[in-house]
Amino acid sequence: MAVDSRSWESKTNWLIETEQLTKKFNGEFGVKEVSIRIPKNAIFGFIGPSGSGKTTTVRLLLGIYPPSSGSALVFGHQPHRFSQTDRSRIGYMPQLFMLQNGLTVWQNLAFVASLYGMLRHRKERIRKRLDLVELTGQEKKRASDLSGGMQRRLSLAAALLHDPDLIFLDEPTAGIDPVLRRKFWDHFQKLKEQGKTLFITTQYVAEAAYCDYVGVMSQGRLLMVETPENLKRIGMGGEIIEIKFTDLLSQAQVAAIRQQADVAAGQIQLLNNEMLQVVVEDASRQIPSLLQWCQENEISVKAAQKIEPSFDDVFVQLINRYRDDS
Amino acid sequence: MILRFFNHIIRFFIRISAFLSREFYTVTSQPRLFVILILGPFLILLLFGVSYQNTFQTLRTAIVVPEENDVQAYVDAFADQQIANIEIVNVTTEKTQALFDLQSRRLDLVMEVPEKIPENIENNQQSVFNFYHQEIDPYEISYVEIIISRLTDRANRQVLIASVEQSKALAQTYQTEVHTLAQAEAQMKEGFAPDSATNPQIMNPNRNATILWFLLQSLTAEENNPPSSAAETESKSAEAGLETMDAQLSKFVEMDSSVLVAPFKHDLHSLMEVEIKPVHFYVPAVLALLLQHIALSLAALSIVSDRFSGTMEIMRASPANAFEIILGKYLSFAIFLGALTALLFGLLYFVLGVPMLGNWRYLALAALLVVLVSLGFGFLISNFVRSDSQAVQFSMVFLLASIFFSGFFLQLYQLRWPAQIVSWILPATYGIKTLQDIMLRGIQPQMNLLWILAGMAIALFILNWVRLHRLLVQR
Repeated sequence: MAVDSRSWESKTNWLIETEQLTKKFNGEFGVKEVSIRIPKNAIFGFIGPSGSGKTTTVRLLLGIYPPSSGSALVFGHQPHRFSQTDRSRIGYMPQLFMLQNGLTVWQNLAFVASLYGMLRHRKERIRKRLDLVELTGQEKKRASDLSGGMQRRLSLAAALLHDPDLIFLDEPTAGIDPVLRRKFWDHFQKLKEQGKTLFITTQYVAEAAYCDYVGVMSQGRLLMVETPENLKRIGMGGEIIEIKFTDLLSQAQVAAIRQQADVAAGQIQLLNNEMLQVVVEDASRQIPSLLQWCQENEISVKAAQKIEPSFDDVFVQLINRYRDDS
Repeated sequence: MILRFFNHIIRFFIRISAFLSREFYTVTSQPRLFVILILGPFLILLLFGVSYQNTFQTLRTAIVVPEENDVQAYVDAFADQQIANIEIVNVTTEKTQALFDLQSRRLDLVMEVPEKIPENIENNQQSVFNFYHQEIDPYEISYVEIIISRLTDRANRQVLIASVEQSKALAQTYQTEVHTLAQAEAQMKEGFAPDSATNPQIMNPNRNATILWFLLQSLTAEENNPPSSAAETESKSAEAGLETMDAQLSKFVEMDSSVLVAPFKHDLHSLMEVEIKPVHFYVPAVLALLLQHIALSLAALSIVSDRFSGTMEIMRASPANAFEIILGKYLSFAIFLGALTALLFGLLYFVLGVPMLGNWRYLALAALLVVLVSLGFGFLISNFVRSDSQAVQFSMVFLLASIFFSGFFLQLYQLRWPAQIVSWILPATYGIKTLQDIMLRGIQPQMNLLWILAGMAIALFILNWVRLHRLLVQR
């Protein structure tokens, strides 16, 4: 009896589901044992240093590469056996500009529209996408005459043109100015609200804040998938409290603070003699007890507050920790 | 269900149209490319037609003669004649100087006249003219061989004419003696005794005449009269024989010596309705070669540039499958090359006046098949090479092979069979043969050639489809 391998359908509600997904190139691991589950209607951020396997993972999920081992299911189907219907539900913006340099902006979008079999409302959709990426008025300009940032915007317009359900964006905001970057993320949020699912790789770690889930890749491995908040907590080892003192602290006072049972060992950083940062399990619970301890020990506190670390710092911490472990 | 099916079909055509419009935009955005592809070949053919002179090189020739005075006189007379494609610039006894002039390109040919020609003839030996040249082009060497053959023939003919002229002079002598004999015969017949003292010529015919007389007597006696005939009959017969001989000698003397030595000449007639000029002859071959080269180059660069510019990645992620992509590419290039051929052919037909004696539909079919097979080879190259420059190199190799093996300037029968296998792989070979038949001969092309082209086109399409399918899913 013939068995359609594409009918190996997921029984869960995950839109993307991978299990030990591995890709080797000439014996070298491009991606190693990646297991992810991404629900529908979410923004999944994929961060990691250059060469960490983000783009390979995207290509595996698009079916451009078949996996060396492990499995992947997108829409419940194996990507490298996608049907035309599956592919028409996916939008893809590659990392590099891969449209036709010799064609104009409009002609490039018309080419992509035809590739996706779009017939109705083509012009209207092209105009809307051009509006979104702020390329209206540039329709007759050749792609080769566009700046790098404009080419990225054109690629984004092409990826969103056919109104896909699942959108893979490989570094969509690279080379884009902060104002437009913010506009893009606002649009991604709107797409999510419309029920779309976005898989976005980025090197701007701060953009992880806009995501529902963030996967961190390093050296072909997926280190973790967390919400942005948890990612910070895990990255920094807890929450950070910053305390400013009225007077300069003596060495004895700093040592006394270090000995505080509630403060994790080695997680105190003295920024200068009148300010320090303390990593704690739960900032809201720790701030009152710390203030009380200071009062008891006659240390005058000017201010104490919880600090939000930047995702850059979190990312650096995570990658360094992973490298140390490995 | 039906609606879904139609929707699927419509999307299939829309996806194919993506490549049609892309190639259309790519070409129309490069007007210079269009101009080069159409006007370039046309202008080359126009220039060729205007500048080509259907003439052959006149060979500057020196004749080296041996130091024999009698030969020198003949050669001088020979050199004074007008000989086509030969200019006798010098008659000399200095062979070394003549060969030096040949080496210095002041001469094209040196003809060395042999010594002792009369002695050789008497000894039943041929004398050899030695010719020297310095050509390197095989065609020019063949041309020189034709010219020296003509020159040798001319010399032989001159000798023959001289011999005939000598024979005529001898015949005139015989004729005079025949007249003398006839007079003597008449006198004898009238019973009139010849007076040997007053007419010694009649009484004493010279030795030749005597031989002739006895020869004639014996001949007439053997052929016409039995040996037992009477003397009267003998006399009548001899008289008749003398008259016949006189008439034949007169006829021989009056004949043109040049006709006697060369009674035949030739005249060539073509069944062609129109005159085929040299430029016309080359047009179908150039057209076939051009179609093959443009189709092959465009296709060879097509997939490889998609692969390395990254457009292939967009296609991989899109719903377009390998069949749609390859079909779209075939169609777009076929339409583009069809328009190109029509425009180029229009210019050739209306401006250069190239004849089109056959059926237009066959012409279109043959051109289409050549384009499809060439595209097939181009896509095959594109599917296997690893860079643009490799694709260009492969298409140049194909062009070079076509120039030598397609019958463009060498006929296929001049090639040994392994090379002919290469010839019959090249679409230009089929194109040249069929386009020449259609355009210049006005006949139906050999249908088996068109069937083979069609088979090759289908096989290459399937091969490219399978290969592209594999490329779309990277390993």
